[in-house]
Amino acid sequence: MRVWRRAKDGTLLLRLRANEAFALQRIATDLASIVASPPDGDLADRLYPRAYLDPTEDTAELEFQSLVHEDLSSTRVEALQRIAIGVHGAADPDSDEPVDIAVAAEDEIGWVSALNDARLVIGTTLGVDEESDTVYRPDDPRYEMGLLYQWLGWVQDELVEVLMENLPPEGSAS
Amino acid sequence: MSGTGIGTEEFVIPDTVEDLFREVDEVPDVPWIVLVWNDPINTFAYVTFVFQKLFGYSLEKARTLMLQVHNEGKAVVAAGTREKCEADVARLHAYGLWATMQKDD
Repeated sequence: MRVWRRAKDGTLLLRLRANEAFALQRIATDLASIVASPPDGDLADRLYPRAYLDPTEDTAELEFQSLVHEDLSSTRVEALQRIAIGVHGAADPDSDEPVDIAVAAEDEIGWVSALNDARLVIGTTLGVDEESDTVYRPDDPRYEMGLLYQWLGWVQDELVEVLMENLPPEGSAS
Repeated sequence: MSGTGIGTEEFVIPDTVEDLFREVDEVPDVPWIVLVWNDPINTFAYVTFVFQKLFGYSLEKARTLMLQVHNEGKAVVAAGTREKCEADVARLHAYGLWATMQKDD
């Protein structure tokens, strides 16, 4: 089953099972606060990296963070909230019926970057590295989170595929 | 020399002639570069998409840069003034890519 497609009129459509929509709503809701203010450590470093690695540029780094951090944090939270709101009407924990969810054109980039943020949080928490495949045994405490991580990766990559079809011609950056 | 603000230039009137000369001497003509670093979470397709979307690169160029990030650990994806590079880094961070900037020397 394809997750993403474009309708003839250009509308981006997401097809999930109702219980998947419910799971996505819960993930988007649960992750908002951790994305807004991750605890110091790997996750904070990954979500809000330094712009300057050179310690002699600390003044510039502080100025950079003071200009961008708050906006970035609120943009991320808003994108997750837009996902939670977007799937709310289709979400049902007790049904595996397929549901179609239309994503507004102005939310497309928010969706793909928020799915990525969710993967950054979960992947960093799982300690994903180049060698690990996040496939855990069912008795491993990371099992469910590993499945969620793989599912989000699949949903995100299919969305990327659809969005790539609509990229403007070469040379026109946005 | 200020100029760490994104897209903003401050003009400060120098107090003395010496200040004026020092200002001129300090104007860095060194261009800056933006690096993207490898990480195990972002997917190949997503990173390629972001390079195309943000910089208007062809699929071929975006994919080459993505593979360079993956195989060599990092790649230079953009260059320019400090202000332009700060804006590029901020946009890459907004997409969840691990980007930094430094003087190209």
